Amino acid sequence: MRSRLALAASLLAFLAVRPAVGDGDDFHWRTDLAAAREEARTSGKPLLVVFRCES
Amino acid sequence: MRGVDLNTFEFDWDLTFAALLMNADGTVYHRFGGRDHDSADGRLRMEALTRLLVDGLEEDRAYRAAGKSRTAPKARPIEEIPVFAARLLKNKEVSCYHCHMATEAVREQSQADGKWTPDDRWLWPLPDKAGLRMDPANPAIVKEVVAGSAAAKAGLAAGDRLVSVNGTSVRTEPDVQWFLNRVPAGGGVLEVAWERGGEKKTSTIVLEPGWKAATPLEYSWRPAMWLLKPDPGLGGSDLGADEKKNIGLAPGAFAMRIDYLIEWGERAGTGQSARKAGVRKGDVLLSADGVADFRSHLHFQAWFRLTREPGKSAVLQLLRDGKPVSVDLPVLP
Repeated sequence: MRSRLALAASLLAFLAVRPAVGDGDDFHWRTDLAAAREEARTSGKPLLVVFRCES
Repeated sequence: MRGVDLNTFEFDWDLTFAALLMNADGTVYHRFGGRDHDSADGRLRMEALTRLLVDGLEEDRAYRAAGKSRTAPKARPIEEIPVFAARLLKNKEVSCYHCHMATEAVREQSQADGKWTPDDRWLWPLPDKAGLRMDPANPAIVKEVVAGSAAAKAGLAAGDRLVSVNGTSVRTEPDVQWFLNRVPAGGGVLEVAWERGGEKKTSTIVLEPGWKAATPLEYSWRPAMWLLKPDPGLGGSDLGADEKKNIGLAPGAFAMRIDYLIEWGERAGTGQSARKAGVRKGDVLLSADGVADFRSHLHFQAWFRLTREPGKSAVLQLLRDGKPVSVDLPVLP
């Protein structure tokens, strides 16, 4: 039943980081959470972490 | 969810979309997302997310300016939950750890540890459970307070701007849900602060015993519903309007085609029991124990799991080749 449900839901998780918005800044999405947190730590910017599912 | 620390990334893992605005140290400033049984995205507005990001940046600057930091709790990735780890050893093909698996793994581990109670089914209650209906476009603003509700008794009113719960800034519904999720089903309190016309107010929301319980319809969207017991041992799909018309049913009537009996895996006994009772693949389910106002097959599945008692039976009214059939389905534990 579990595998049937997993297939039906077809869930995928994505992780992303968005740096602080400022003039001329671009959006930069990351898919490696650990690396994104380290980048945010060194850059002093907050994170927007998104978990998204596709069905 | 592979490798994701559940102690830090704590949100309603049944959701199909969730966002966390946070500091790199793991401090979550705010959560965005949330849904109800009517719609996966009916409570989400882009303008609300935009506002949250702008306001959240200010909070981040203030957090840093105050020299705050978080001491991270011990990480709890899903792979280290023993019941999930044991399943991985048995089932090597699991390649993607879906969010709802975290809900299921936590629940199964709690059951294995003998800590789980039926009240633990109630997850991430919406503010509606306290009588608060927030404005989707600006979810810090109270759109409506249900008369006689816990929020009304606390003094909240439409137009108020919710500021904090238990001393922590809240700006979204899932921010409030994070606190509600921690209040036991047996009752509890939340200290709330809000603004009205520039004036700051505080009060206590008192949640009475039973406040947290969800109706089957409210629960029907949750993927984690599927592993709750008792289950009927069968599943299927809703008939379309034309199919209903062809068998003389109104467009809004409940009609679920039984596409499968669960005769495999750990719950094979439920499907085998249903077959023995007389259920057949292709039957159309019209009602159960006299209840016919299910909105969908998911609603029926949630109703069965949340309301039927093991050891008893459920009377299913079916259509088979256009003829009515009644089946006494044993409810297995």
